[in-house]
Amino acid sequence: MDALLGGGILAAQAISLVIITSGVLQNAVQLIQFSVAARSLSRDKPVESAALLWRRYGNLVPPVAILAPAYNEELTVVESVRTMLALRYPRYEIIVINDGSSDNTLNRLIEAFALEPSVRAHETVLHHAPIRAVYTSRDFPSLVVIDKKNGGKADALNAGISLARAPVFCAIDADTLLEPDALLRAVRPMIEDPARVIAVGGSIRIANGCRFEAGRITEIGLPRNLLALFQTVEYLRAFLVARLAWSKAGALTIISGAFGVFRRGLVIEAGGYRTDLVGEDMELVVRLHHHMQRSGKAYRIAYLPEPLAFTEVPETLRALASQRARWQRGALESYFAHKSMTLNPRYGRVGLLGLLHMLLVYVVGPPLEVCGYILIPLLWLGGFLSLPWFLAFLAVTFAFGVAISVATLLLAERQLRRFPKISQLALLLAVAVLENFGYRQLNTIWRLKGWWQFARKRGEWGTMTRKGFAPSSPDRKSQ
Amino acid sequence: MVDSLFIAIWTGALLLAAAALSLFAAMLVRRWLGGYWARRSTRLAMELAETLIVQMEAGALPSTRLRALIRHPRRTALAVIELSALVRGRDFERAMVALREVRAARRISRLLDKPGLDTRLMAIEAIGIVGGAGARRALQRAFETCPTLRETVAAAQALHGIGITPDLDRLLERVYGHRRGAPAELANLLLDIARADPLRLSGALDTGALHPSLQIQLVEALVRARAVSAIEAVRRSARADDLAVRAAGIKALGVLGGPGDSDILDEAARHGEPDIQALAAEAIGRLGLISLSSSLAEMLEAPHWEVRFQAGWALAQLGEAGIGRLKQIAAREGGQSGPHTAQMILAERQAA
Repeated sequence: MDALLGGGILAAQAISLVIITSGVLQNAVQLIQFSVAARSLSRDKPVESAALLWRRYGNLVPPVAILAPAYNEELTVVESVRTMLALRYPRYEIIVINDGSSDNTLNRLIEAFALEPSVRAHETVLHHAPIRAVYTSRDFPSLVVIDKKNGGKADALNAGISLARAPVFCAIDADTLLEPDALLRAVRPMIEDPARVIAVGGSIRIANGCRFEAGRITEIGLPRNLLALFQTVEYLRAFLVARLAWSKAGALTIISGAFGVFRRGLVIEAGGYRTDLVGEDMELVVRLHHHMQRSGKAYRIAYLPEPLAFTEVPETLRALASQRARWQRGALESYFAHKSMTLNPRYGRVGLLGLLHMLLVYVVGPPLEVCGYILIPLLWLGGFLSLPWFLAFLAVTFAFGVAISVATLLLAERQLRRFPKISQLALLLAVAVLENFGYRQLNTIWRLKGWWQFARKRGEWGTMTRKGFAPSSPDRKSQ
Repeated sequence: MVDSLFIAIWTGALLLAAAALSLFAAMLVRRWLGGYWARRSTRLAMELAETLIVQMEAGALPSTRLRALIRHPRRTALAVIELSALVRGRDFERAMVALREVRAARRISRLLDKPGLDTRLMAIEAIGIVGGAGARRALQRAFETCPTLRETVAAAQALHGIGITPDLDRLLERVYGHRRGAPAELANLLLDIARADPLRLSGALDTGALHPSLQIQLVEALVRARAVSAIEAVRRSARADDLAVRAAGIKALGVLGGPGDSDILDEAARHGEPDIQALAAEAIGRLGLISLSSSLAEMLEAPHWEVRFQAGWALAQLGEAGIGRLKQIAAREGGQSGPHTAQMILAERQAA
């Protein structure tokens, strides 16, 4: 009996040791990321004045095609296109791809921009569902609308890439609101290092709670909804710290689907977006790495910390759970599509760091974390673990999390001054502490759900009810 | 052993969290205390902009208020740059005269000793915009002593902007030695020089083994300045071994060239690299070289879409003869890509 108990204690300790070690490693990676991001932000501060950017690069920018896939976006699409038409950039075209919407998306566009059926010579360079019609407008010559059969976001982007003529394209979501200088800022790395930079990602800010007029942000506000507030801190951690650090390490494996700039020719060479995955944005970036590493050419995937675009985030548990499960599935699909790169020296830093990180965070992380949340408190209560073990678990689960979230907020405020009011900062500080007690654990459970769905090969997208970007106040309530 | 390690982890995490929270609290207090200065700074920046606008309208002698307002060099530099993006011509010049009177360039030049590269670059650009004798001295000093190539280029361009031609040989020498080639901002300076003295740039192109990025910038500057006198240098670039330089040269020929460049473009149209072929087709169309319509018709059968597309558009640009050729190809039967491309080009042309 004693031997059995002894064996049980040993097994419990072994499992707990794996869980705590994994937590320590994850937190250590986050601390390293934080210091890399802090160093990078203090050395290469974003150019604050748009007038300066114009002086330096206004003559040198490449033509850009903005690709905006739209599926049932009747509420936001017209406002989004108006924002795109008002961008400060000398040479760009907007290609809206109506991906077989079942609502009035296409009609809204036709009415708002006086669109007429047109012809655009093109070749289907990437696989996509058939195009039904192409529309252009005499009033807005830079606007092209493609009406195609439904095939998903990746399919729509492939159609847009086929029809685009600019050497650089910017993939966005139809509901993304761009900052007026977003394109000018985004192509800056391509102008400064034209031979190497093949893609650029940018920071995305949360639109919930901000005030918009005529597609422009007029007041930075914080969401009233607690879930959206949690995501505000989470986005800062993900965009400002993690992605900046990975890009500095040459191992950035994701550019957000809400805003990313790519060299068109290279994306075509790499095969475009995969239409059979839900995480097409991440998969494309990993594939670009794969393609470039195999070709042996020097390249760089850059990341800009300054906010370039705004997007609405889910405000209900159901929508958020569905989104996070989908992101997790996407990450797993991307990892398993390129798992041969993991720790393979042939793929340089991206294989040694980026893919290893994907393995630890997306593949091993969720089940291990959930195991930890359940097992360690139970084992401690059952007397199988001593107090120091439980304290170490609390440290990696909560205390490090609080430190990293608060430090990220501090960094964002010091270097980028994102929030104008002290009251906003005080609220965010409270949220940065609180999110570690419940929200992060929920997130892990949603990720585990995505893990399970991936294992069962389920691939649906889920839906999110949008509220639109009509003139609104920061006090706007959820509908 | 494990227990003490775990206690250390717990203690370390708590200390880190406490440190982050304390620093954040300190930052909040600092923001609160600094609120007055932030509001004052915004008010003064707006007052400076207003004073400059009054100066533009009235053209009066600068007031003592303007002298007081330019004490903060960074604020002044930003105001100058923002204003230059909004106003041009005589009005703007009046504001700059007022700034010269109060020696604003000297004030801004204090930023040249600051540690941040971006701050120093902004200062150089602002000094160049203000101009005057003080600016000349500050920019010369920046051009000669600045540690980075980007600053040297910015100083050279600012000097050129106030009518002083920088020592191009010295500048290019620094660019040659730069491991990453020419900085992007150099293109603006080269354009200014190409407009004033195109042969100087074409001469630089002939000086030997330049970094390809610099050769491309030189060619592009000559094109943007429409420097026809530099055509020989451009022709040589269009036959360069480096593909990127050759591409820039062929593109340039499409703007600066003429019927005499048929051979070079015909040769490029038969090149093995699709990018070169596509650029050659575009250049042939732009120059209206009907003599090369057969080459374009051949390119319409190329395996690469970009080549076919550019060849089709080039034919469409050759007037009746080219369009007739396109129609002939479009009417051809069979599953080749040429007729299909020709049909699409004709349809788009008609729809437009």
